[in-house]
Amino acid sequence: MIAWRDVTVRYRGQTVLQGVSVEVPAGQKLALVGPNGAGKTTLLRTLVGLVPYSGTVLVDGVDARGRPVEARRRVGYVPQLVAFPPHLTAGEVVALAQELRGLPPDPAPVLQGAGLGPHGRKRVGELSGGMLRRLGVAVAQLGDPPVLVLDEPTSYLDREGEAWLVDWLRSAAGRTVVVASHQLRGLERLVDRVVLLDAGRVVADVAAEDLRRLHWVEVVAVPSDLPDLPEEVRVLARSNGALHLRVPDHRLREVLEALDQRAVRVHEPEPEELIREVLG
Amino acid sequence: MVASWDVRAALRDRWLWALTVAFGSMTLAASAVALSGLRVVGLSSFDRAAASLVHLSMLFVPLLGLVLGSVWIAGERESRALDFLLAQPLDRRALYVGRYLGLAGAVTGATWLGYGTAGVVLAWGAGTDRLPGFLWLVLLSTLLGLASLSVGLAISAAAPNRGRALGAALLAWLALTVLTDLGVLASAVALRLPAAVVLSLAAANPVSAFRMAALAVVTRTPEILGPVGMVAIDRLGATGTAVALSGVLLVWAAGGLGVGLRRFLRDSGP
Repeated sequence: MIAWRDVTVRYRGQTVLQGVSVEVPAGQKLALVGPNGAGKTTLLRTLVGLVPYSGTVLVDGVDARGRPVEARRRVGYVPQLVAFPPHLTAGEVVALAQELRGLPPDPAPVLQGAGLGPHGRKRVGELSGGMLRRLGVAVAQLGDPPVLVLDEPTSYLDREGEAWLVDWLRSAAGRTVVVASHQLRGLERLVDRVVLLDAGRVVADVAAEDLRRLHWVEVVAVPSDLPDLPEEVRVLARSNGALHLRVPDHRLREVLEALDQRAVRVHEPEPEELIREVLG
Repeated sequence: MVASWDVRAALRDRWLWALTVAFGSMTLAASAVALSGLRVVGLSSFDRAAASLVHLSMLFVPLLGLVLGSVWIAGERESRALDFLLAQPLDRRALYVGRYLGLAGAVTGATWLGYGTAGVVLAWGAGTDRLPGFLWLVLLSTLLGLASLSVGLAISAAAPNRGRALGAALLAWLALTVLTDLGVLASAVALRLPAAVVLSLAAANPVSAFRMAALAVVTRTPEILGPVGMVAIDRLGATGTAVALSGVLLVWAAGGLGVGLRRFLRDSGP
């Protein structure tokens, strides 16, 4: 469980976070979404004591300011820019992190699990951005912390890496997970809840299920004649014989069949548009 | 734990090896030159060799400590690698002190390595009757290294990036090895300061303190210390001077460590 209560962060005279309060129950997966500079990274960094703040931050019931070492033991943190001491090899990074978490150093299985088995002897400076990100996620899981925090996890990952991350997120059942991202696309299907931050404040807090239920697809088709369409389908526009339809996800198959599969373009809304709809 | 990892990492640092090799080569050269003189003019050549080693140490040991200390934290802060360590369940004080101890091991090892070559050559050529003086020199150099490292690490804790930290460390080196002595000398002449005051001012600089302490115990020719050093020996004796000035070096080591730790804790969050 994580609790940010009335958290304010000021940095060089600027207010980065203003009275943020968010509670994440144990086992929940939360997406923290917002534009660049919204304060997402700063909020995550309060969990591991990387920024001074006012207010209260609890990690698994432990006060992050009062008992910082205990709080950090409960958090696996993957920063936006994953970096390790440059003199160390990937294997040494894992061994060091294991020792710091009171575990016997045994990097091989960890590297193997992250798909980095053959790269254990490489210095971290020789690893690609995607490899570093995988190493970061692997290191963050050492000691099986109940809280996992990922800052912009999809950056630097190729398609294969993204698929690996999606699998990993799905497999993190039972853990409290917070994922910060400047875009929600795809994440709403992996998390339970979405919190939107803007200019250091929480501006929306919605269940991911609501977003999924609201999800729709814009279909553009050139039908020979207009078929009967379900009531929930809205005609957005007609131009040059083309029909722009807004189709709820659960009606998509039915509509495509009615159009004889002749949809020529499909457009999905940005998740942020859905949040705006939820907020009315 | 942090210390042992940092020793390992420091051993891969090019700065450390470059300065160690340079220091070792210079001490070896100084000893060899002194050895050749020894055969001609007798034992006083050992004093000259020791004086050369003292002056080499005055330049190299602070440079080693300042440079190695300054780039470590600032460099990792700049690359964000420091976040990895700060996010671990480790007390910030333990991290800073552990880092200091690790680097201290590396600096001390480099210093001993540099002296080791000179020591072997001198012992082979001049015998071991001056060994205590030589060991004093090694001990004082080690303390100077620790004091410089404390200052370097404090600079690193305060600097925003590696470049500025390195620049500040080189400035500090210049100030400690050249500018402060010139300042004290100029003040002494211009203000006609009493010798005791000049001694106190000179002793406040760890490099000067090292030089006076080392020359006091290593050489048997106190004139080499100049009038200020003569005052110190006159009042405290050679060993007393060395012990008192060792205290100055320890104060710099502990003070620098304290100041750096305070700054590190202030900037790195709870």
